[in-house]
Amino acid sequence: MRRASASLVLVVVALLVPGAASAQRLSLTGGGFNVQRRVFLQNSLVQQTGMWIGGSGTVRLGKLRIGLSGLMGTLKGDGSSSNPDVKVRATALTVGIAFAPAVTVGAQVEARRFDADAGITAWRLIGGCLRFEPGLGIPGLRGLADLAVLPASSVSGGPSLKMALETTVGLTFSPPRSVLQARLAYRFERFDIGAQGLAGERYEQFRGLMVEVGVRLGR
Amino acid sequence: MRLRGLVVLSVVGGIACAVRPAEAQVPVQRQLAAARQHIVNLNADSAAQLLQSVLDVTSGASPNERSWAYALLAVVRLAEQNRNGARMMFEQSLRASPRLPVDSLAILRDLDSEAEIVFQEARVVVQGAARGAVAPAAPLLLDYQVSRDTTLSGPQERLTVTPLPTRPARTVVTVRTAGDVSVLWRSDTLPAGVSRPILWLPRGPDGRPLPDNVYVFDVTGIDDAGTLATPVQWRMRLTALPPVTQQPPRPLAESALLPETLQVRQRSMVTLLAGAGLGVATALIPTALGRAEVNKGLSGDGTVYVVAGSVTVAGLVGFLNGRRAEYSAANTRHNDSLRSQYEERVRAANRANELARRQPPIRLVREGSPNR
Repeated sequence: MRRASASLVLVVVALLVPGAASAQRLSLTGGGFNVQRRVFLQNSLVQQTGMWIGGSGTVRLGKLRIGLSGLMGTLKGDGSSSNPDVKVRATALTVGIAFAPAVTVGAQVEARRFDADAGITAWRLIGGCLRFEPGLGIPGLRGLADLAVLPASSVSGGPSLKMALETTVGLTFSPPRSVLQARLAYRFERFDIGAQGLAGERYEQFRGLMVEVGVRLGR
Repeated sequence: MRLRGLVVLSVVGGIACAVRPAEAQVPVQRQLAAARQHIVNLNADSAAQLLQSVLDVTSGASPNERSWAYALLAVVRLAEQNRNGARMMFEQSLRASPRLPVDSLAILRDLDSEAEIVFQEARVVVQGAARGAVAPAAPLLLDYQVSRDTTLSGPQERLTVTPLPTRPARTVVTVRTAGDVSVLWRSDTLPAGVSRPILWLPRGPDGRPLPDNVYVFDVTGIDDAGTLATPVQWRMRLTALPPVTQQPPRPLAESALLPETLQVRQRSMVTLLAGAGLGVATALIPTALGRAEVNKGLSGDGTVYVVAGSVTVAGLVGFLNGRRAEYSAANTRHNDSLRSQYEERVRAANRANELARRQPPIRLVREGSPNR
């Protein structure tokens, strides 16, 4: 099912990208997320850190915005069985409508996969998103506030998420008459996972600095 | 009484004698003019009848008038397709007065295009007959001046040919295509004693050059005594040269255009508030959105302050150096004017090049010239 969804997304993007390049705008970025993960479970708190790298592509067709992003990396624990290293892969698709030049509202679907020695866990995160990009008075410089609330989220084969939200706040800079763009942002994610069986509720937070650079093609 | 009668008789006789020549002179001239008009009107019979009456011994016509009458009668014979008769009439005309037909040759030519040729034949006969009695006149020779190799660049630029007869004579230049007997162009007759160049425009009415070919030039001349010059001839090769076109004007440089949208400095409180608001929001996110259990033990997150500070500073800088786009109608008009001028220059260059292609330079080289 997940593979089919990913294939569908790739097909849609592949169909839209050539037209967007000539008629509208295609943005491609790559960067890193210096992430810190903190997990609170049964009165104990563990922390992992790591660097995720990845990229994103956004197609702008009039007021329609379609974005696809992916991040992958390793979160390093303290080496104990309770805090092992975890490989993470996250893929997200967003579809939005720009109601104003600075305001986009849309939906987001994300799949996140955690691969540790103990096994593989997958999350499905579904919800809405709001992006606000106000100009800051300097040509090409804009603020960024991105908030995604994902209430229809669950752990695959496990409990649902009582709260899932992701927010990114920072700056984007696209020099006038240049195809380059850059982003500096702080990303914060919170996931409250419901209790299942003997296991109690589990609270997770991801946070860190995000730096991306990329290009814009088209008008 | 007898004396008075004699005086009256003398006066009457004198008047009668004086009136007679006047009556005889006027009708002859009128008859000649009427005969000419009949020829023009294609009434050959009427013309012949009038001319015969002029040639009658009782008409009182002078030698010049008789000569002219014979000449007109020759034209009548030509109209009757009687070439021999025409030549004989010209011979009579020349015998009556050798000058008049020569002076009136243009009129005769207008009346009949063959008149000049037949007249020359008659003249040869008459001169040949006269040679036995008088000393031959010095031959009339012709020379000419024409450039050996010339290029005519402008659409109105012409080839100059200057006939140079050895004594005053009327001269004509004709041009024809090599291998073609029909005359392509014939100059006006240059009067005797006048030395000036004859100008030939080797182009069609639309300014296009005549076809590349060899053209034959003939100069003929005749003096007042009716002596024909030995014709001279030369050949020139005409070649249309490649047109001289101009480069199209260079496109307008971007630097020549003024910005149509100006960045006008404007401090915006919204910018300041947006930057500050985002900065504060960024700094508060971990505590505002995070759970206390998870945040426990976090004394401070440096990265959040880096980003919060950056956003705040950006908002402040944007406030201090903020600009807004403002449309400049004056600059737009200026740019439109430059574009219009450029387009007009392009159109002018295209027009000039089109004309240059249609009317290219022409090179004329005399055959036998070392520049061939």
